[in-house]
Amino acid sequence: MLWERLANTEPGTRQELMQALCAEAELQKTRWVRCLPFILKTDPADFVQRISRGRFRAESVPRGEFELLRIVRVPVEGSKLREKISGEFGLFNVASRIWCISSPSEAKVFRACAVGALQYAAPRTSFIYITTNEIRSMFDAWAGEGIHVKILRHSEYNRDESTINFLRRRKDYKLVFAEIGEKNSVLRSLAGLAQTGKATTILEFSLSNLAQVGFRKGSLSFLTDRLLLEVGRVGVGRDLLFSNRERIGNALRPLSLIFDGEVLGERAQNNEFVRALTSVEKSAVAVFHANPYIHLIFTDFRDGSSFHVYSTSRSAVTIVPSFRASVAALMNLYRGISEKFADCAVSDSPAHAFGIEDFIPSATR
Amino acid sequence: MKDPRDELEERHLKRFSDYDQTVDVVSCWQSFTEFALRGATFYRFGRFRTDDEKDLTPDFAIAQDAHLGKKAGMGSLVCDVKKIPDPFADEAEGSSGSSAEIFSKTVESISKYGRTLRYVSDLGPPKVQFVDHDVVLMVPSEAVDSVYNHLRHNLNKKTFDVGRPLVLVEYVYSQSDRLERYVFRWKQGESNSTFSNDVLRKQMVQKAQPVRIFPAHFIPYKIRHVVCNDDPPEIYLLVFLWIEVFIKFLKEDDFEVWKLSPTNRIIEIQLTPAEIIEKLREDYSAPLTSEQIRMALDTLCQLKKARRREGSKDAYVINFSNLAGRAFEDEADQVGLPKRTEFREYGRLFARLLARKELKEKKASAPTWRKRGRKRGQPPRDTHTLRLPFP
Repeated sequence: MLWERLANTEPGTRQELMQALCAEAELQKTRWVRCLPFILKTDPADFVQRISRGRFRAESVPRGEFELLRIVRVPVEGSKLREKISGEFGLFNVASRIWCISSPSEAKVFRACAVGALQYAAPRTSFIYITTNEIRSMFDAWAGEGIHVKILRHSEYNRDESTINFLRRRKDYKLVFAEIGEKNSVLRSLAGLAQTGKATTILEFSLSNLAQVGFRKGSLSFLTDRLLLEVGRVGVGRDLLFSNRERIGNALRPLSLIFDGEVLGERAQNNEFVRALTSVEKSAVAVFHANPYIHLIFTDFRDGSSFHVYSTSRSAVTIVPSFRASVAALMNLYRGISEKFADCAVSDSPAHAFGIEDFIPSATR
Repeated sequence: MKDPRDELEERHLKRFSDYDQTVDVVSCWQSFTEFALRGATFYRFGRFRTDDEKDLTPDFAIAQDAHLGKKAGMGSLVCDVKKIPDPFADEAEGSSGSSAEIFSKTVESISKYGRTLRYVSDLGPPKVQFVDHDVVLMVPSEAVDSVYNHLRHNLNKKTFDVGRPLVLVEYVYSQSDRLERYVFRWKQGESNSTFSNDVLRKQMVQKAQPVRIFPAHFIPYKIRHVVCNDDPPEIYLLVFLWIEVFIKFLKEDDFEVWKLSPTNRIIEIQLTPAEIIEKLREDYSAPLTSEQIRMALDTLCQLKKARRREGSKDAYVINFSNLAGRAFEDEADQVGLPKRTEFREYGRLFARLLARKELKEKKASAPTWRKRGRKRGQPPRDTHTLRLPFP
């Protein structure tokens, strides 16, 4: 067990943790070390305390550069999940407020304990949503250094059909991403090889659009210093952009979403936009104005965050967070639009001061 | 034949969108005032008292050089936005009538602003007197010619005057050039009064320039206040309260329920109308009255989404949950998939709930054979022998 294996490492290094995770994966025949970088808005002790209630029990031991975590998901009265599931995890800092929970556990345990605990701890925690474009840019940068990614299999969400497809074909990543773009799909997860020019595999890995990373074999330093760090950087960017967006009094702190093309304005397009948002889990939508410009309120029932969303042109949408607006809820909303509706880039939308010429073009003061 | 429930539902949705459009127009002029009219103060909410102590609530007013206790300067205006015909006229006045009568009443109701008005609310803007103001009537472009002709015929003056000059402005939501915006134009015509406001007269009247206001200009104001000085229709208020206001009364730990189970699980929220009013005033500067909130809560009670708290005169218990997609599970077989998707949207959802309630009430008040004791299989008795429910 991971806990026992690292019981005497004081203080332990992250490298020791990764080696122990790999050894455990080998021993348990799970074959994969699973890592999930996420945004932690508090300290690890508070996080552990938060997940030591309700459906979860947790304990932790600091070990220098990492913490050892034991998480148990217990059955709760009235819940469909009656099975008790437990797992052991390592928790370490990747960058700024990005932490990574990792384990050699099988997928079921990782999903129930690690993913479940992160969902439960929201809004203190948030997943990191990575767009298809961001993943492609990361692989492009690797290719610039002579490291090519070959996709072994992937799953994609097709926006036209609202279906998830699993495809198992060995292909260069550029081909896969081009096909995804043509089909109006987005990448959900992939398994691939990162290889140098002579087809030497330096990493066999998996990656999902919620930043879950899998390590099968290869260079541990490439995993931690490149893949996890680069995913972590996306998380740092999102955290900086999505934090402290709550409305205070009449001061609004909007965000801008810019789409690649003219995807709004027609009735059918606007309906599609509303449909995409109504399909986001544990949320609600009220449309105030549907056509031609769109204005709606999106409320996240996980923590009560709410957002006004309105179109400012055929290719841009503004999100105005209300009095409660967590990073996790904004991430959820951004994911909903980007994944279910259309690719878009998110950025700060500073307040504009307008003049009379903006209302009457020929007017001069 | 159209399903009566669908008809009622559409009626509620129409009220929702008509009110929303008025909120848009008011928000447009608030943004225009803030950015383009120097030295002007915008009055979005509040009461304006006449000399005979009658309180009026125009859709908005703009005071030039507003100083406490003083007269608003030249160029001030008091404005009403009218949907023609007013969809609420028959309900508000408690009267019915031909569409021509409703039309006349709607248009003529603007004349009540043509007198000295004192702003009397404690909502922020200075309490000033509107003495030398223009009265502005804004109507949708498709109705402006009829309104112009009606005013010409009925006011019997060279230029429109209702005690103060009356300015007729048309508005339209335009999508030309693929740039969406509200466009406001001074109605061309020799009988229309000109603005006394320098900027508006020069640009809109003399140069005949339209004022164009884009969503990026006006929606921030709409978001800040959500409602306008008119009473919101029931559906608008219910949707806003449910999706934005009630949920803010829940604390972090309350949300654990929905993390562990579906969000249609009910969390009870105990609230008084005063608490809701305070929140709306604090957060949205929206001065909704106790009566409006109480009516909304009573409707929720009828919809079985709330109840009065036992042993309390004033408190309500809201059965709060996410209604998206779940409110009509009992109709799952009758309602097709596209409809069920629609019912995830709260406007449609509350329209359906209200329509269902109204049909139920209608049914309950209509005399039925069963109520008169007729058993299945028996022929109906002669209706003349039935005891009527009134003398």
